[in-house]
Amino acid sequence: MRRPDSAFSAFKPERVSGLKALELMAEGDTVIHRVHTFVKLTATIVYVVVVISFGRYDIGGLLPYFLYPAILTPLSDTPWRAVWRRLLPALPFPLLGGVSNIIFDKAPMIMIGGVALTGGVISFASIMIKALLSVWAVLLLVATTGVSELSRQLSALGVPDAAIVQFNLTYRYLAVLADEARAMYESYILRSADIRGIRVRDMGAFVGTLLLRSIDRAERVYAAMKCRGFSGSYLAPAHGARGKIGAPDLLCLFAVCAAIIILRCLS
Amino acid sequence: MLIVRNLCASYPDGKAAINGVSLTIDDGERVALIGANGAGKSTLMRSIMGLMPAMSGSIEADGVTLTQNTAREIRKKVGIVFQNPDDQLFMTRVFDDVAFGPRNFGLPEDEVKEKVDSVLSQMNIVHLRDRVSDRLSSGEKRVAGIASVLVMRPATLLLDEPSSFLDPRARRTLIKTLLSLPHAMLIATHDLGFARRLCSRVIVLQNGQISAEGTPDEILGDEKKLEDYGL
Amino acid sequence: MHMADALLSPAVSAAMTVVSVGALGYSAVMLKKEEERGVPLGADDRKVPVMGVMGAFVFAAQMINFTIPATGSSGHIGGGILLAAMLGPHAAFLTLAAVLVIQCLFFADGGLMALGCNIFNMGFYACFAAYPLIFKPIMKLGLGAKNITAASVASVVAGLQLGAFSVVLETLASGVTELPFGTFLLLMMPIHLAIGAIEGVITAGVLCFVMNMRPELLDFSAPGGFGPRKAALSFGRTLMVLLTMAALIGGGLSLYASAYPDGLEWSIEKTAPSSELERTGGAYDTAAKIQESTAIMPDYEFKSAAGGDTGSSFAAAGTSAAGLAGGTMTLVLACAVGWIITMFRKNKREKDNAAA
Repeated sequence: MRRPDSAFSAFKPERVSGLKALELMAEGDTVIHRVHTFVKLTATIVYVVVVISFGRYDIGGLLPYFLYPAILTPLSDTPWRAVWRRLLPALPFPLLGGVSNIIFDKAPMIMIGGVALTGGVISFASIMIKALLSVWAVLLLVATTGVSELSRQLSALGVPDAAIVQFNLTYRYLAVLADEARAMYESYILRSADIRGIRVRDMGAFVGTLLLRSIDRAERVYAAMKCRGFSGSYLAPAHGARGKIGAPDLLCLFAVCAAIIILRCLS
Repeated sequence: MLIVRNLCASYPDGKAAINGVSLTIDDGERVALIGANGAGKSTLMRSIMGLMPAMSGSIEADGVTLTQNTAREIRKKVGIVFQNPDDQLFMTRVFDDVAFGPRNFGLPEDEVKEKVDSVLSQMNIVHLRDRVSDRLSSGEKRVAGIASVLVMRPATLLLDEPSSFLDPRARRTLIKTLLSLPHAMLIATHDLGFARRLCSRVIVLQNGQISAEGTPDEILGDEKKLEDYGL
Repeated sequence: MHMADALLSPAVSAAMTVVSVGALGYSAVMLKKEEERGVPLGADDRKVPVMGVMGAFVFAAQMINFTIPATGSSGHIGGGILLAAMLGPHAAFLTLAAVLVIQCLFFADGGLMALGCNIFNMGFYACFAAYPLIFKPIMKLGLGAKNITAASVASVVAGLQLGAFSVVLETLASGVTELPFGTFLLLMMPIHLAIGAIEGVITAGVLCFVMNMRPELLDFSAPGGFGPRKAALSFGRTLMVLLTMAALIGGGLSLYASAYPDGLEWSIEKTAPSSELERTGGAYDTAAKIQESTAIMPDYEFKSAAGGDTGSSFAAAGTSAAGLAGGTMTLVLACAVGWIITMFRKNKREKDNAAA
């Protein structure tokens, strides 16, 4: 029987295990993995900007953009299951924003087989397609490019070292602290007979303990850094990109961006 | 050669942690530091690295005495491998982690690369070069952590509980690896078998003071004495 | 509360990116200044690992979900006020930004183009509005559990409400959804009030815990802690920054909104459909020309046609149906291509495996 005060909180560690799957994918070695990071980063940004630039009723123009992920996903050996898993959690918010269109925009717009589609249905579909494509494109970027490779590229593009180090440290300790939180959560659950989560009144101590442990860890990391000559000036994990960007890479970048932009102009 | 004279150190709250410790470690000598939890093993190591805020006494490594200004110099001569490899490996990629020290000392990138690669092959972990730190096994993390210290060419290594988190096989591998290194070492450990395999001398620390010193047979052979030391 | 790419127009996304990058630069400069103003020995460079690990802490803390009573939905802490109370506002803002970048890239929380919006909505308000203007003044009344609770709940709620309000504004300014301003506001604000109340209570619990265990860690209980020694962010200074930011955003958005009667203006338009017809000459024509030449902006012509009488709406729909058919064909093509490559690679892998 549940106690009346069992306002509880659930623990969701599965997000971090997804991270490991992503790292495994990024270690692959396909044509797409070998493309220069600059090319992938630029192409992703151009692609997403163009996708979200479409008008709200322009599904016809949007659909051809499925070609990009449809080609890159199998070419980069990114499992379709991973795509699906990643897309699902990203859709609810656009869904919330989009459903209203169906409700508020009831002017019929297209007749298909005698059924009139309202403007709302069409703009709803276009929002969902945009959501799908933009999330998919970012997934393809990180599934084919490792974290250190990505930060290397960002550093080469002039992102300050401080930001790169911050990004890397956060990423590095994410799974470590998540693991710590999981262990704490399990020991809490095992000792609280019929509670399904952490009681809100225990949350302060629970999260507080996690916080103090994190600070202690930061102190130890700081000591380890100091012992290896760290003196406060930031050092990006890698100076200079992996290799010089070659002619084939530039050609590839040009071709992809041209295709993306020409398609946009045609529609 | 590492010489510690009459070292005292206290915790931030003023409680004494190390109380008049003197010890010498000769070149190439491996010394075990044993003692119960809270005896001050880790604090002693942190003091030698100049990490404790309040200290007195003197620490000298290869002729350089530790002061506020020579801390960086000392840290090139003495390297410390922390107990938890997750604290030691703070970069996302093994290569970047090993390269952290050399980069901090301002070496040009191609020299950094050369140094890192040579250390990785010395430790037989070239295959870990581009791996993400978080996904290594405990044994791999330990060796990568040691590599990240060795790359700075220290003469003396301080190892804090090096055999913790390791399964028997990884532990054996680690013993082999450490035996193959020419460095002087101070090894803090609860693993008495580990100390016996590696060290020619054992120092017992109790309440921040050295309470016994001798060969492994003298110290580790007597169960009753070990009990007295809190072990 | 993560904003999605799909609900944004490129112009709003660009404007918010500029604003957020500006705020990040400002924080970095202020952080540097704090360091130069003589923090105790060794504490300056300690910020690097502390900020990094605290970012990871926010992730771990966010894995703990709480249910919101009576709604069935769940939330987790955002951590903005908590970070500000531990690290000071500048370091907290930078830390949160790193968290949001990682969430965007590796967890699909909020899109790449929405990053600017998200950093602003979830980081800026908490660190630079709620913390200095609400949290700190309350804490000046005295260090204690009651004040911490009041300060935490008030500032978390305020930060979240401002953030939620921003989400509404950004969405409307983008003009992608039809959601009327009032309805959207009614959807967003109460739910974030509830989330904010719970997060506030949790934040208070955590801060009280830290106060009992290690008070020197707290930014607002100086001396000690990782934050600035003195309140580096005076009230006047904060107000200045806020006003500048408001002017920047307002300027950016109004520029956009006037060129393209989208979003906010559009919702007004709905109530007075004739406004579109009266808008001739001058700025509007120029804007329309610009829009025609820069295809990157949301396609407006079509909508204005739909906004007119039903006849023209169906005329426009004719071309759209053709476009839709063409688009559907490319979608089928995309599926086919994807399937073929997948099969091809699968065969190759199987062959490789057999060979090995």
